[in-house]
Amino acid sequence: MSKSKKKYLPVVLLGIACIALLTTYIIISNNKKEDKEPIGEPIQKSSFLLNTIITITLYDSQDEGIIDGAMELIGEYEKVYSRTMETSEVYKLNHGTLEKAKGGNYSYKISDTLADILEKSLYYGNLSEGRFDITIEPITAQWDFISENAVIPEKNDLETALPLVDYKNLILRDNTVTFLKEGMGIDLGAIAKGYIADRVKEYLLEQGVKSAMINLGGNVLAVGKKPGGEAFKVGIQKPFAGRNEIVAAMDIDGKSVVSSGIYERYIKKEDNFYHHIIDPSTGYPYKNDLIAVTIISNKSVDGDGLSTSCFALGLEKGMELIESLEDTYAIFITDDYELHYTKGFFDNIKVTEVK
Amino acid sequence: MKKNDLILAGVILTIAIGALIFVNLNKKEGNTVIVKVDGEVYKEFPLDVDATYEIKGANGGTNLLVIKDGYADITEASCPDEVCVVQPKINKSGETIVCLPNKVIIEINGENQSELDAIAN
Repeated sequence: MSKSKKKYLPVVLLGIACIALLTTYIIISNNKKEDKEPIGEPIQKSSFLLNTIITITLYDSQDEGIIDGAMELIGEYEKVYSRTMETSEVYKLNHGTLEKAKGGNYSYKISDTLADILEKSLYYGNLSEGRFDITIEPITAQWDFISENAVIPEKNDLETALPLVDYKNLILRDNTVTFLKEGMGIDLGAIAKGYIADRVKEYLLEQGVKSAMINLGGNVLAVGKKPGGEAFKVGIQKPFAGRNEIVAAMDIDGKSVVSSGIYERYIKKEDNFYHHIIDPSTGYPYKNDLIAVTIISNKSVDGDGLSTSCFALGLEKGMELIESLEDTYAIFITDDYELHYTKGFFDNIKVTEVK
Repeated sequence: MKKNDLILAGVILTIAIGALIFVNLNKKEGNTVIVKVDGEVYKEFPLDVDATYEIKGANGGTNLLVIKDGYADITEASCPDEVCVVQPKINKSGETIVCLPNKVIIEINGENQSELDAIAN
């Protein structure tokens, strides 16, 4: 017995050594992970603003007060830009209760905050040849994609409102807006999230944050990279699937990722499908072979404005528009679920498709 | 004796692999379901214990959270659009189900972090 025990001993020792080594390895590799991020785990907060869910994550700061400050900032912008909040500047402008300015019958004094986003909005009106049009409010006010009894407007009502829609009939001069027709109004829904995301990024940078993720209801804007130097991974949602399913994942460094798609908000009634991207020339949703467009750009306001514009332009013209712009890339998803990338995409953005 | 050596080596190897599997399995089972209402943590549940819970959301709205077979799901809700009910059940860390009208977020939190930092939609 004692003889055989002795023979076992080296093997047992070897076994113990193996286990010890393995344990050490696990502990060391865990420690290494922590060494990579010496400032600790990222902090994240979510809030319900802008009729959607806002999530802000800081990777290089433990100061929750900075996120609270960002949420407050978003709330301030909502109080100006909201179409439905009865106290907002946009609501008052649309209902003619804003302070009148000299000029036409429908001239109003507006704040710098509103004037700035209007200037951007008119720029995208021109760039998209009127397909992106913030004066679409008389039409969008008739549609309701959200509430229990979703509303599809009467054809007559839409046709009555159509002549009121034309961004060229909105004159912006410094802090004065003039509507050339009675009954005009503005809807900033297709640009506000992008614009606000840029302001949040500015605020975070001012606070000394160099690594963060701003997500305004799927309108994504990265601040820098992860603390370890890796790019952020941003997924593109799979149309008509769960919020956590994606068609592709991209490496994103300090850029904005914004999608427009027919799967976001829609009404299904009998055999008809009505999505929320409305054609200002018909009052009804755009009909083309696109399901979604995703724009990767430096500024989120550009991503927001361009995603709607490109959706409206369709695959061919939309691709042309993006390819004419510097440092801007796009993925178009057609109704056969095929992904179309703009020229230069793969040279500049690392992307992995998920099958 | 050589045969016994082999057996012993086998036993040690089995224990080592067993330990590794055990550690990895435990990681997954350690996932937590976090329920947030209006941005604040409201309740937490282990993902590996079946449970049904009625969440009282904002504006008096309710959502029925069902945890079953390692998945969290919203099966009923008072909200008009029921987008939260339509969303598929979740089980991976970082995945979420959101109900905008009731300001409810269901979130999985655990060791196996999702690779994604954000999803654009």
